[in-house]
Parts: sequence; structure tokens; C-alpha cells
Amino acid sequence: MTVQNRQIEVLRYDPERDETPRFETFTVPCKEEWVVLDALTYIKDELDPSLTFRWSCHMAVCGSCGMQVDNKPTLSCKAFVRDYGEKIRVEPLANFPIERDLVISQDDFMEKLQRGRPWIIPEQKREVEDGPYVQTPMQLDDIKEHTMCINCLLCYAACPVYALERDFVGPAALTLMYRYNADSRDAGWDERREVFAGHGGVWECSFVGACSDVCPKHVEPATAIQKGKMDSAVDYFTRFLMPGGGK
Amino acid sequence: MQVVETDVAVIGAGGAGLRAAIAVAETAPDLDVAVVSKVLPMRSHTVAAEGGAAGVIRGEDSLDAHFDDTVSGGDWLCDQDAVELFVEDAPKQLTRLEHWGCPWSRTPEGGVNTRPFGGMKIERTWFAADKSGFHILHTLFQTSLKYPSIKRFDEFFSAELLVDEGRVAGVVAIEVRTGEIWCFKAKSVIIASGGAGKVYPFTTNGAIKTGDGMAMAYRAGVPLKDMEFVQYHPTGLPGTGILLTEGCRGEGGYLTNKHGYRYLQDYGLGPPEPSPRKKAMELGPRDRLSQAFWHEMQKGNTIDTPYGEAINLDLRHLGEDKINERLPFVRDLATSYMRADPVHVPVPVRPVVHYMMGGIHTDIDARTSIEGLFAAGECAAVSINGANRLGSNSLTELLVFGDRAGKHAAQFAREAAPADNAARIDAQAEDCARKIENIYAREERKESTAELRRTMADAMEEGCGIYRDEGRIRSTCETLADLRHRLPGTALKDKSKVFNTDLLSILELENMLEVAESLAHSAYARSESRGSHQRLDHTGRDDDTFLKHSMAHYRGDQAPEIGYLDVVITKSPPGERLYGGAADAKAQKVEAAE
Amino acid sequence: MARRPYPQEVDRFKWWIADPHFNRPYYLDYIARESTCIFIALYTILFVWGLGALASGPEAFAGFMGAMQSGWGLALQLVILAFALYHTVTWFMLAPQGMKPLRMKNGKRVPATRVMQVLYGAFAAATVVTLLLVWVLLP
Ligand SMILES: Cc1cc2nc3c(=O)[nH]c(=O)nc-3n(C[C@H](O)[C@H](O)[C@H](O)COP(=O)(O)OP(=O)(O)OC[C@H]3O[C@@H](n4cnc5c(N)ncnc54)[C@H](O)[C@@H]3O)c2cc1C
Ligand code: FES
Repeated sequence: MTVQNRQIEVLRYDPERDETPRFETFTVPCKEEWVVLDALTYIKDELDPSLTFRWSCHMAVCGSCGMQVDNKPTLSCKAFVRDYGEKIRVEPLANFPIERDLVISQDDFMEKLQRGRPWIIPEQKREVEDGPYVQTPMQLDDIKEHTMCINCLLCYAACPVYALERDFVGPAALTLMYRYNADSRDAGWDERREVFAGHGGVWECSFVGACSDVCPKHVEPATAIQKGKMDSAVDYFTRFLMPGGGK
Repeated sequence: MQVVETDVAVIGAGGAGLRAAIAVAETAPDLDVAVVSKVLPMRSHTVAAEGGAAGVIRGEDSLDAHFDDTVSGGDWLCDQDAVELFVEDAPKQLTRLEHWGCPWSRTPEGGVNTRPFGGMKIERTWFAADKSGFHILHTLFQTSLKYPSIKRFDEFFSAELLVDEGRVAGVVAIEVRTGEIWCFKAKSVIIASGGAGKVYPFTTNGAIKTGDGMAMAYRAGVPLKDMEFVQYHPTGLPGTGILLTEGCRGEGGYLTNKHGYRYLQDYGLGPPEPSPRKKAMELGPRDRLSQAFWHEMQKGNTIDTPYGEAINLDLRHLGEDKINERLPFVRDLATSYMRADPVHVPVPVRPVVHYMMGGIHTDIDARTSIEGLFAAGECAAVSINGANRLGSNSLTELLVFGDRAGKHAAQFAREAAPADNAARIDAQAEDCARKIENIYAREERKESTAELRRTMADAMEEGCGIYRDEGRIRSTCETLADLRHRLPGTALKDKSKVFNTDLLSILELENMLEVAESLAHSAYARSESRGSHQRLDHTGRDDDTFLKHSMAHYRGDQAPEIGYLDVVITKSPPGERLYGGAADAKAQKVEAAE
Repeated sequence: MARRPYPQEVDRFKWWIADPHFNRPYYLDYIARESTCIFIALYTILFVWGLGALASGPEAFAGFMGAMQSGWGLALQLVILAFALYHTVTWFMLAPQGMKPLRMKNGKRVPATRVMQVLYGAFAAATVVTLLLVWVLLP
């Protein structure tokens, strides 16, 4: 097991002491197989217990540990130090307000997530006695990648539209809405239309595509949103141009 | 201090906590539910579960078969009334989850697909590829958003229960981002705070699994049950402890030693067959598999890796397509964290601490011995897991008993007479706030929190590992007592109120030490071997003395007191646990006799 | 003291220059892709002008053709062609990412490369047909 010193340059911000954020550099003896998160826990345990960041699973599935690593939104538990240079810069995720050090405020996302009504809205109430719905592997495959979102918010940090237009519902929340709209068990399009296709919805997206690039779970938010635009266009035409609103 | 008045408070927003909250919202929409969680719901460790959730759905399966597998898997330490109820409700709960949108993997006809799991006679594990826990948690979380009566308090760290005269009155919590103390006054409280794997150094558990809820209940006077039963999962990645699901073996993976030999056939699990046979070889129960690893290590048959001894998990014969379809996450994890792509090479694995069978003692309605206080999920011991949990029973347990906890807590909140104890409860909350202030006030940092934590974890591995003996358990108990004594020597280097994780790690360490102590003392007292508790100095199972639950009672600064409670047996008298060919031979004999 | 979240804002005009380290420069690519549509618009203007000239009589049309065939006219059209091609190719590259998956008979998704092949094929066919028409129709 080889150990190599690396300079970890971390953005620090303690609202009780710092007017603005500042950088602090730590020298960390990193083991070969370490991820950036390991280096941060080392700093916290051995050098400075006040360093503040979120983490839990250490296996890239809980979505806690998103950060900018060398200026790219990344899960720090899956960012191997061996893939970086001698100096690694770690900052909180872009576009979000910084609570403290590497911890950002997630309130805006949580509010938008809920606004999107991300739950099955069935055509008819179904009882346990009715058994599971029939859903073919192909119907599942239609939504599969879009169900994989871990809410790590890397996509929001990569999205220039979200950076400029704070009303934008954003990649992850819109993808989740698409995932429910497109689920064979769901009939909730009408209830979600306003948020999905109205102000701040899919049409706000200009298809830069960086969200899909940084997504650690290949959720393809960019694709979901474009597909959502298509659905929204079809919905528009059927409602306004077809006799009887397309019903 | 901020005060919130609510009907039901739920501590924890993992699978069990969310299921409980939904149960309250559905059965009693007029009651307020406050869900207090130290992390956002979707960060809860349920998210990490990969393999799936057990529930009888196939025609050739039966509730009795699920019952039998569970009870024998638990080495007859399960309460059988709880298991009966559990297997009966399991398919219903999993179906509910399907209605709520869980993307279960499907059969070609569009039904729910199932996979085999260790110790289960028939494929009865519902799965969503190898991200079952993730999908269950997100489905529950997203579904919970539709109920207006559920109010979440995310990133609120629960510090202490409020209990007066044997009845719960609420919980005190720290709002992490402000450092403010909040008092949640509730008619009933459900603890769903998950397990405590972090008392060990090498675990599949996330950073948040520090046994807080167990410790809170324990301090409040509820006994912790069967704490000595700790599950080692046979296939964790060396170094990180990241889990590769039992689904790997369910799909047909082999375990081989350094000679490429499927060594499990030497431990009463054979005969080896090319494709998976249920309840045999790689699909034996976890305790047996982890113990077999230990023996192989003694024999020098394990593989020496830079991160310790390991054996190989070989999936190559499954082929790339099947691995991509059924085990994509496993492939990703092994390739990234171990640099071993299972399509091309065997992956080194080793046993790693995974699950606490023990926990807060509850009855089958999730009630504890404190009135109005309920517990469900991994923090509780109801107990369906006995001395060894079967893989994929836990996710189902969260649903079955989370639901029951919710319903009964709602009922209690509605029916219980109001208590006249406001002044005493306020004083208790003030006490708790003062305790936290005192931690801030400590000047001299004589001890490092991280150092104490490491010492604790190492002592646990040493004394309470896969195989234990009196001497080593005793020395672990001594170390733990010493650590509890040293804990007040810690102090904060970080004095900020905002998001102070330095403070939380001291509180978590205190909780872990108490949980660890209950565990070690229970292990010390149980001088027999059963399920996951294997004593080198008492190798046999001793039903005469120990067909009983251990009950650890808190006694302040002193060591816990260990008592016992009878196991509930309804229809399955204790028998021999047989797997592989031996089980078949026995079954044939029984059939012939009949 | 209490929390004081520190906002992270970006510059409304310069955000795309400060490109984060993605696998490719997404922001710049985006600006290039979108800004090249100006040239498509420019060509449309030329085209409308041509149509107008045609309607106003042979003299006006001759004048238009003259302008198009001049050195400057040709240079302008070449530049437009280059940017129009760039614009087209970038959209082709995005296409598979922006549509619902097409499925083969066995239910498997049609791979992205195949979608691109079809797009380029259609593009080539349309070009050939146009050139043929021009060749046949021109005196
Ligand atoms: C890697 C892994 C794989 C697994 N795979 C399977 C599987 O395939 N099948 C199966 O059946 N089981 C599996 N298990 C076991 C199962 O996932 C867990 O037992 C189960 O998810 C625990 O759920 P829970 O709701 O009890 O707790 P958790 O999901 O751990 O949630 C605990 C909650 O309590 C909160 N909390 C804790 N302390 C506090 C506090 N002090 N204040 C406020 N809130 C607090 C947390 O924030 C969290 O929301 C697996 C476990 C692991 C670790
Ligand atoms: S720690 Fe869970 S995603 Fe990184």
C-alpha cells in the first residue's frame, strides 16, 4: 500500500467567523486506494475537527457527498485521489448557497421536488387484494435510467440555466416528474402539467447537456427533459387543436 | 428553545421511519406527524441495501416455508408469533410498495420477479436489480410527500427522549444547521433510527449508523434485546467494507479459496453443484458462511491482499449480459473500488459487520416497555431475526413493523389520556440543553474523539468478532468501561453553532459506547454458541439455559445488567439447523417415516 | 450567532467562459451550437431576397444572381455553409440523447450510433437528391 502526500485545498466558510469564504490547504498522506472523501475524513480526524462536510454511505448511493473536485461536480466518495494531481481543490457544489465549508443548502431542491408531485397518481385506486400491476420489462425499461436518481444535486451544480434562473425546477426534479409521467402505472400528467411544462418547467432547459455528463448514476436528465418537451408539445396540440381537447 | 407540539414523533426517516409515518397519515389523517431525522430521508442507510426483500408470491411457495426458513435461520431464537405475522403481511406490504411505484424487476409477462437468497428454500426475494433498498427508500420518501400531515425535520439530531413516570412525552433534538435545541412534545414516539454497525471498524454500514436510537431508549430504561447477535456479511470488499450483495450468489456466483476450490463443501453445506441450489453451498446462511471463512483463514487457505485476508467471489461464468442486467451496481462497485471487473476476474471479498439482530425490545405491535414509545426497523428487536437474520428479511421487516408501529402509535396518540407533567418535561428538556452547553464549555481537549472511536471499534472486533471467547470478551468489556470513563475528556475544537459535526461526533460516540457495552456484556453472559454468536470456549447450543433472549438493562456509569426473557414458540420446536445435502437426507427420512 | 448562507452567483454574461472541467467544454459547445444558428437565419434572408427578386422579374433576379456569384457572394455562402454544417452536426450529435428510444423487434433499444447513421444517411440522400434536381433542372 503506497502512501503519497497530497495538498488538499478546501474552501472554508464559517458564518460565525468568516465574512466571505477562503481557501485552506492541508497536507494529507493519501493511501493509494483512497477517495477524496477519505482525505477529508483524515483531515477531520487528525488535523482539524472543525472541517465540515456531509457523507454517509461511502459507496456512491446516498447522495450526501457531492462537491466540486477540481472544479467539477463530483461525488467525493467516488473520486479516487489517484486520478488527480498532487494538489486537489475541493469546494462546495456550485450554484447553491453555502451553509458552512463544504455543506450547501438544499432547501430549494427539496421544495421543488415536492412541488413536482413525485408519487404514483393512479387512474383508479388499487387495493392490495388486486395484486401488483402488470408492467412489462419493456415498460420498465422506458423509465429505468430515470428512476436511478440519488438526489446528489451534481446536475444542479452543472446547470447554467439553474445558475441564472432560480425558478427553473432543474434537472433532477424534472427527471423525476418525467419518470412518474412515463410510468405505466401513473395517470398524473394533468396534475403535474403546470410545474412540468409551465414557468420554470422543461421549456426553460436549453439542452446544454452538462447535467447528464456529471450524473454519477447515468440518469440522463437531459434526455428526460427533452422527452418531456415532446410530451408537452403533443399534450398542447391535442388539447388545443384536436376537437374535444383530444379526450 | 423551540417547541413543536405534535401527535406522533418519528425518529428516523429510513425505510422503517417513513413507512411508520405513512401508516399514521393513512390511518389517522387528522394526527400530526413530525419526522425527525439527522440526515435527509434519502440519505438514510436503507438506500444502500442491494439484494431485495422477501415475501411469498410464487405459487409453489408457502407462508409456512418462509416461516420455517426464518426460524431455523435464526437458530430458534426468533419469536414465532412475530414471524408468523411477519410472513403473512410481507407480500401485502411489498405489493403496497409496488402500487406506490417501486420499480421491481419483472418477469417477461409483467409480473414481479423473484430471486433466490441465502437460507431461503424458494426464490422469494423481490428485487429491483441490485438497488432494492435504494428504490424502496426513494419510493417511500416520494410517497410520503403526498401526505400533508407529515411534517419533516431534516437534519435534526435527536439527543434524548423525554420520559415521565413510565410514559414518553417527546424528544429533544438539535437543529444541525443552527445549533438550536428543539423540543418535540408528542403523545407517542416511534424510534426508527437504524442499526449500529459503526461500533465496529470494518462494516457495510454508513457513517450515520451509530445506534443513537438504541442508546436513547436504553438510557430511558428500555432493555436492549439480543445485542450479542451481530451479522457478518460474507462478501464485503476488503479495505472499504463495501457490500457485494448476496444476490451475487443468488444469481449463481461461487466462493473459492486461494486454490480455486469451493471450500463451503467442507463445512456441511455441500455438495457443490454448478448452478445455485437453494439452502446449500453459497446459498447457505450468512453466519455459517462467515464462520467458514474464519476456518479457511486458520487453515491458511485465504488470499493475502494488501487490505487483509480474503477469498474470491467468482461471477465470471454468469457472463456479461446477466451481470449487466441483474448486478450492474455490483459490477460498478467492484470495478471502481477494487479495480476488479467481475466479468473478467474474481473479486476478493471477506466477511464484514453488516447488521444488528438485537435492538430495542418490543412486542409484536412494536411497543416498548415505556408507554407511548414504539420502535421498528433495525434499531428494534421484535424479534423475527433471532440469532441470525436471513438476507432480504430486513427490508420487509421495515415495512411490516414500520406499518404496525405507525398504526399503534396513532391509536395510542388518539386514545391516551392527557398527561399532567408539562413542568417536569420542560425541566428535562432544559437538562438536555444544558448537557450540550456543557460540552461546548469544556475547555481542555484531553482526548481525541476519533482516537476513542478507533479504540472502541478495534476492541469490538477483537472481542466480539466472528468467534469469541471469555477472555477476549472480558478485555473488550474493560476497554469499553475505560473509554466511557475517558469520554468526558473530549472537548470541542469547533465552537460554532452552525452545522457542528464535531459536537455530533461526541454525542454519537457516547451512544456507540453504550450500545457496544450492552453488546459485549450480553456476549459475555451467553456461554453457548448459537447463530452468529460463536464461542470458542462453549461450542454447543445450550437450549436448556439459553433458549432465551438476553436483555441488557442500563445502569448509568456501571456495566449493564443482563437478564433473560423466554422465546415465544408457537409451532416449531428447536431442531437442528441443516443445510445442503444433509437437509435433503433428513427430509427424505422424514418423508419415508410418514 | 446564526446561520448566514453564502450565495454563489454566476456572471450573467461571462458564465460560459469559466467552463468547469467537464469531459468536454459543454458551455462553450452550447454557445457555439446556438450562435451558429445566426448563419442559418442569414441564409434564410438571402433565400427570401432571391425569391423576391425572382418575383420582381428577370432583371432583378439577374442582379441577385450576380451578387451571389461575385467573390464576396461566394465567400459569404461558403461561410454560411460551413456554419450550417457545424450546426447540423452538433444537433445530430444531440439527437439520440433528446428522443424517446426507438426499439427493435426484440424490444431492445436501437443504439445511438445507429440513430446517427440514419440521420447522416438521410442528410446525404437529401443532398444528393437536391444536387440531382439542380443538375436536371438547370438549363
Ligand atoms: C449495504 C447493506 C445492504 C443491505 N442489503 C439488504 C438486502 O438486500 N435485503 C435486506 O432485507 N436488508 C438489507 N440490508 C439491511 C437493511 O437495509 C437495513 O437493516 C435497513 O435498511 C435499516 O432500515 P431502518 O429504517 O431501520 O434504518 P436506516 O435506513 O438506517 O435509517 C435510520 C434513520 O434514522 C435516522 N437517525 C439515526 N439516528 C438519529 C438521531 N440521533 N436523530 C435523528 N435521526 C436519526 C437517520 O437519519 C435515518 O433516517 C442491508 C444493509 C446494508 C448496510
Ligand atoms: S457518501 Fe454516500 S454518496 Fe458519497
